[in-house]
Amino acid sequence: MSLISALTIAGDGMSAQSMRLATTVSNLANANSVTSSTGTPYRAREIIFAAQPLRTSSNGMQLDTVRTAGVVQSNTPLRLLYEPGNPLANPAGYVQSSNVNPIESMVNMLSASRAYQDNVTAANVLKTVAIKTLSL
Amino acid sequence: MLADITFFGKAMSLRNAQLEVLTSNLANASTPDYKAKNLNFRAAFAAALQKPGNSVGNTLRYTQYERGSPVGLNGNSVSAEQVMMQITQTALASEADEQFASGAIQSMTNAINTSSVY
Repeated sequence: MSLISALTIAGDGMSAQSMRLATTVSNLANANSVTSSTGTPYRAREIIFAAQPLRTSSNGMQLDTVRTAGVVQSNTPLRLLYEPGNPLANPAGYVQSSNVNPIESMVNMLSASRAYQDNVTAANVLKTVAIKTLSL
Repeated sequence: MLADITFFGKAMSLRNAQLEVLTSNLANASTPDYKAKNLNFRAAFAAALQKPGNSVGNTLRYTQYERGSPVGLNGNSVSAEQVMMQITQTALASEADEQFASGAIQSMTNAINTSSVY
């Protein structure tokens, strides 16, 4: 039944967006980290979405759901902070800090939360239609 | 009457298939290089009416890429607002079909039960 698979797609959309939210929150939480478990400063992470074909028609048209294809680390240069008193400072007195841009992260978070809400609304509409069909 | 129910049944099946396509647009609203799609309802319904019984055939064949929607910098052409409106419209059309089908069922039930009324 297509309504059920439509609900699955909406669910996939929600889980993809919540992964994006989690990544963004992790970036924000580590915005001021100067080191991590690997010994190097935290690098901003970004999630990659990819369309995943659910069904393919004979004429090549695909019905796509969404999946997370992976997480990549941002290549923007690390921030240098002048903190001579910091034990992690280099001989010149500079500490490398994470390359998270908090403003960018906040915008990303808003965008992810709006996209999540859109998927929830769509799921609600699908649910209403399904209930109406059942009560025929 | 039975033909009416089949007619609206096919329309509802197609509306559900359309909702599926629109939901997949919404789920892929932030996927790079994804292009918005929609079901060509007119063509799909015309083909479905030719099919025997309650079958509507393969609806994915009548799914087309949306024309005229602007493509963003990441190659995505989905406008979340537009898709939400399309979902609302399709759900409304589906509910209308349900009302009509319900009416057809009701009048058939009335016809069957007439003898017990009089």
